Amino acid sequence: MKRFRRIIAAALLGMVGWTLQGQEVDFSVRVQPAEVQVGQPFRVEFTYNRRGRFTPPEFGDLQVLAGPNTSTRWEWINGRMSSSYTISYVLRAAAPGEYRIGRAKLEVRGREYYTEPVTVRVVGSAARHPPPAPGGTPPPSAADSLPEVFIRAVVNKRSPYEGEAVGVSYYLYTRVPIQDYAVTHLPTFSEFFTYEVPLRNPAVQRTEIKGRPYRYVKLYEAVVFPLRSGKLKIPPLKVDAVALIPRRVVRRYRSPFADFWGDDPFFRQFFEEFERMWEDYSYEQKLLHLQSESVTLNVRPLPVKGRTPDFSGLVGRFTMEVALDSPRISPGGVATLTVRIQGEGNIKMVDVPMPDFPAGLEVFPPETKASYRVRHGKVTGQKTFRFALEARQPGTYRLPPIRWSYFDPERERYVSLSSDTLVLHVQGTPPPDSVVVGARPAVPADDIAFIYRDVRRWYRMAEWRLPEGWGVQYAGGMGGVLVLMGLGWALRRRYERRGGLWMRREAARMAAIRRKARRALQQGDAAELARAVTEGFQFLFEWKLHLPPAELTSDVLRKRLTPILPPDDAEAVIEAWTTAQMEAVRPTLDDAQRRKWWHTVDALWRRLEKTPPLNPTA
Amino acid sequence: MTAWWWIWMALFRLDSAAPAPDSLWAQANQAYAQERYEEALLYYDSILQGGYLAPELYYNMGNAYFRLGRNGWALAMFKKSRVLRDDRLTRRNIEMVYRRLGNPRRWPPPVIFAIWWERYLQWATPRQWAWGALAAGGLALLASLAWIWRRRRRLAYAAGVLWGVHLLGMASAWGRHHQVNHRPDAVVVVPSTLLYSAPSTESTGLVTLYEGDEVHITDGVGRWYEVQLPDGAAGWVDRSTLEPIGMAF
Repeated sequence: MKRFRRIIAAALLGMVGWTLQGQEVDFSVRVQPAEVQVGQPFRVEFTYNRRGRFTPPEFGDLQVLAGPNTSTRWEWINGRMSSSYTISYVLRAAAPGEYRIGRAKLEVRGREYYTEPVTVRVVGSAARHPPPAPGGTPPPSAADSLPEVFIRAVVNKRSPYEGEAVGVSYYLYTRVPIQDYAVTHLPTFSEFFTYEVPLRNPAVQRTEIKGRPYRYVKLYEAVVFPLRSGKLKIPPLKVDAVALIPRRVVRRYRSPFADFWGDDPFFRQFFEEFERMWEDYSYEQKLLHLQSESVTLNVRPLPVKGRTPDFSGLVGRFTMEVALDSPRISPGGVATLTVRIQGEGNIKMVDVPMPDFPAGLEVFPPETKASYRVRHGKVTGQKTFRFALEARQPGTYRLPPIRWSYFDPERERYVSLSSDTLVLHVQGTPPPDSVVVGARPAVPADDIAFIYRDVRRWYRMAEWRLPEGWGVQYAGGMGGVLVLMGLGWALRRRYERRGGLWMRREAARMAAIRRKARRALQQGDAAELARAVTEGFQFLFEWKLHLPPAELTSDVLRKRLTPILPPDDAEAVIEAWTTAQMEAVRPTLDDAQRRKWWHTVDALWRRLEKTPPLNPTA
Repeated sequence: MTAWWWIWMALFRLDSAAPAPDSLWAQANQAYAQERYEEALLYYDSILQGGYLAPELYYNMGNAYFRLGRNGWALAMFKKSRVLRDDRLTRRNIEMVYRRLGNPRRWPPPVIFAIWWERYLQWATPRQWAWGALAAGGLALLASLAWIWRRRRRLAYAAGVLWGVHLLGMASAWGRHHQVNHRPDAVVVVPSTLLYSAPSTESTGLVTLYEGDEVHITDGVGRWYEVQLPDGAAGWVDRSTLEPIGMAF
């Protein structure tokens, strides 16, 4: 029975596919509403009943607030299955007029379908919906009055002291889904010193407000320091958000077969999945202009009582370290006095006045370095000042204590910090090139340093210039180097090819015989040339054919040359060797013939030299 | 390693055999000590005219100009000294001149890598860099030939390192040459001057430049320099109102 039911279900699914296959393509566009006001969001929907590739139209000057959003709808009408796909956009016009939405394209199985262009009329809104004034409150609307979405600014102190850290955070609270949001206006803290906290992927969290569940996300966070006392406002933050307001849930289809198949778990699950697929969740998109409410701080002035003359203006909690890197230096040497202030407060504003150093010490402007961390509504870190002290004359220099004070808001009193007296010993004799020229023993901190009396080294002007055309010379030199290396490489290759010898012994012998023959040819000595040629042939026959001179006959030669040379070349060799023997006894060739004969001999020699020797066992 | 050191020192000394103009230098410093700064400048300038050069010379000239209240010239001389040798005293004096000049136009400081490269180049003069590079190149060539012949891995490594040293040395020679001779920096040395839109006093005056303002020279025509200001403005100024830092100008 179960098998029978499954066959029927498969057939039904096949029918569904067939039904969908046979549909005509219906592609349409709809604008809701057709006439809108300036700034009012409206929706444009493209609906089609066959799945294909959709290309959106040109929206011209219309601003796309959201989209494309896709939805799919399935229907079963009179026994026929139909589906529809909807792609929608939320648009807005910035000025009145008529806006044209171009033709959208749908490509289904290679065929293209287009919608008709649509014109949207946007009427002026001055009378009915005035645009929001810059910095002002946006106009009330149905969406803005929703209590489900709002922004709240949260401060961790309401009555701080002037200069005390206050943590400010802005949160977006919502009870409905937010499709998208963007901060359109960040707060400008004109009366505060501000440290922004970088937000990295702020997490969405849940909470309850007055018994209603909300989700919230942090939009912006900063730590601010009030610059004056009195009533100071934490400025608002503005956000544009697109909220999805759920309209209703429509169950489009209830299978008439669900009950027919009884309690079979397979079909119950199958039809439940099928019904779930056809459920249509419908949402309405609303563009919301949100703004946080201002928060007023009551900033208290710092108390006058107990304020020390060396008060730095900083509020928080700090410690100070003062250290001298080397208590003993030689004249002309440099010691570094490091003042480090660390703690919690406005680290960037920490400053240390120039200490009143003793005469004879040359003090350079300090190098400062600040590092801080902003989190949990606090700024913690440190700032370091490094004073370079140079003493030209030997002696003992007492560095006065460095005093620095701040206001502690928790204990509500001023705290003074002071370092110990440090001693710098300068011992030795001044170096010769640092003798002071002039009458003053020490240079004040706001004057230039001394002149040099000695010069380490005099240079000629030319030493500071490269010679004219040095680039070309260098390129030429590098070219020569490359040639030299190439030559070395070639020599090495040749050496390797010759089995580790510069020249084979046999090749050297042949070279010597050649030289001898050429000399004889130049001198016109026919007998000597013939002897040299005979010697050369005899040497080659012994080397290549393993034939000693005593065994040389034409037949033997032919027999041994045939395996290693073509027959014509073999005959030419025999003829040249015979000619050489005859010329040695009685020269008959004239100069021209002799020269030609020598070229033939030389060519035959080269061929024989390149030919591998005859295998002795053959 | 010791052998390398001695080779380097030999090349170094080979390039540094310049007799010192000691008497002029002593006279100049004496005049400075007696607060006769104009006279001291004459002596210092005579040394320059004689073809001698030292960072201390430019430094002392800067001091003399500073004492005379000619801060633009003082700044230019300190900057020239700093190009040859960047030391703490010169930097400090430049800061003092800036302080006295108020807030002249300045170029933003270069990135830290550029500063490191400039300081590295200051280890030697262009010719010393070049000699060192050539020595390394010669050794690299020998090592390469030895490797071609002997095919030992150590020889290949040595040749590679030496060629690297050679190329770096040549790049350093070129860099130092460019640093000293062709850097485009210049300082305004007159109390004020006009930046013109074209190399002519008949053209439109764009901006007023003040003593100590730093510019970059981009071109030159006749008695005019085309310059660019740190804020991006560009125009022409009379050559006599500027003191270029690069020696080639």
